[in-house]
Amino acid sequence: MFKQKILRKFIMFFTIIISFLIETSFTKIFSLTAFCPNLLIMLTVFMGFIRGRRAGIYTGFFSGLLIDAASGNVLGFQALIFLLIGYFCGIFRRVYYDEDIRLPLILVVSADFIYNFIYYIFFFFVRNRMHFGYYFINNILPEMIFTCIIALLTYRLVQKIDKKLDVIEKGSESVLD
Amino acid sequence: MKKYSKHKINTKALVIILSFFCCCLIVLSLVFTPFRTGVQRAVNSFLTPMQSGINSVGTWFVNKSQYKKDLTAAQNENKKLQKKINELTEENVLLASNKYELERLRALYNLDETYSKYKKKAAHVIAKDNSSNWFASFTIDKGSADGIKTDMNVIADNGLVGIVTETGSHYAKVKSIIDDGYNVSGKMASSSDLCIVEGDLELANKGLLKISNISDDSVVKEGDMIMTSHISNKYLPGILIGYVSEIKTDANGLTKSGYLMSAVDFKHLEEVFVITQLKETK
Repeated sequence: MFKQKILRKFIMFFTIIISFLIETSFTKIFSLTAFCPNLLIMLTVFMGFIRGRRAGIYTGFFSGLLIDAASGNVLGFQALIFLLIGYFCGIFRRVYYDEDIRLPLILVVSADFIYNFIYYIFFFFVRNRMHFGYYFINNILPEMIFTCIIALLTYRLVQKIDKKLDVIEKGSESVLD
Repeated sequence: MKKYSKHKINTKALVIILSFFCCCLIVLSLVFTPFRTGVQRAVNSFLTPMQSGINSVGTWFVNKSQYKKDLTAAQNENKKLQKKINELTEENVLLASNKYELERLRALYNLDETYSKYKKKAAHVIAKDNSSNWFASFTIDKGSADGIKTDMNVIADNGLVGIVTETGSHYAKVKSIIDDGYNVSGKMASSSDLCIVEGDLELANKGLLKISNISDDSVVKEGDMIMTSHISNKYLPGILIGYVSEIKTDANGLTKSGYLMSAVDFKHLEEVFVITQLKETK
């Protein structure tokens, strides 16, 4: 029992680090333009939505903390945003249906938008850069679209892995409800 | 179905506690910079080996496909030609300054020390900072163990890229000049008029920088070269920043401003050079 709990936490930790590394090296691996999908937001939303508020909070907090620690901005700022996003997605768990894929996608896209919007406010708006429309079209929107596509492709995989972990943790009865 | 909470701490309380903790971290890192850099150094020393690893794996794949397509030969030749062009552009920069008012320039920046004679160290770009859609800073794979120190200038091919902001033992973070709000003091190659070159996110997507504070009676026109000036306290003089692409007089009638096309292609940075000479001020 104890071992399985550790397994889940270990997998989460590992996934966060891998997502972060993929994000920072994205242009190297895939030789695309300057945009990369915001994998950590996507992960936070998925965890919050599938597993509830606590998972969302922890995933968000550690993802945000990792970004903060590595990229030299104010420490704790992104951790705060991410954990709140994870929390709010956890609230949506009440409407979680197995086959539904629209709601998680909508959540991912909105979370990405909100995150970028807050970033814009705190780092650009306060320095008098008012052309939000430009930033939106050229920076935020491509990232949102890209993240949405990746979310579409990986949501099922995340669900499967989560179910598998559930089976390992609690035995096969838990999956039957 | 009754669900009992097996956790000791209520979820809502958890959110509040963690949020409060984050706010404390924010305040702490705003007030005590060493705390933040200490944490950063620890995390980065853990992450950058992995980033270097990914970089080399990625590079391996790319190389393989190129080999299959037989482009390697063509690319090598291209590189040689590009190096030649860089050398010639370097010479051109020198000649351009010589051509216009030679004595003033000699007095100003002591022609023996052009940037081609500065000692350089090559490095690879291994990661872009996470908020890569907004800012323009990146990580390179050489650090203090290789002799890199903070405030060393970074160039690529023939133009200025940015400055080292932080070093670990095997990595360094570079902030580039197209970073929104970041300023470099520049001067015209032709007339030695001073100006300020500023990065701007909106313009960076077009490969441009903002240039301002040029005195209105200077004869600057499109196509002029802009280099780093003597009065900057971090940048070595004589490094090419870019070419003027548009210039007009300001509303106040006293200064001119406009746009600058950077000499470096920031979208495709792979290899950069760090100038290992630091500017000595005071």
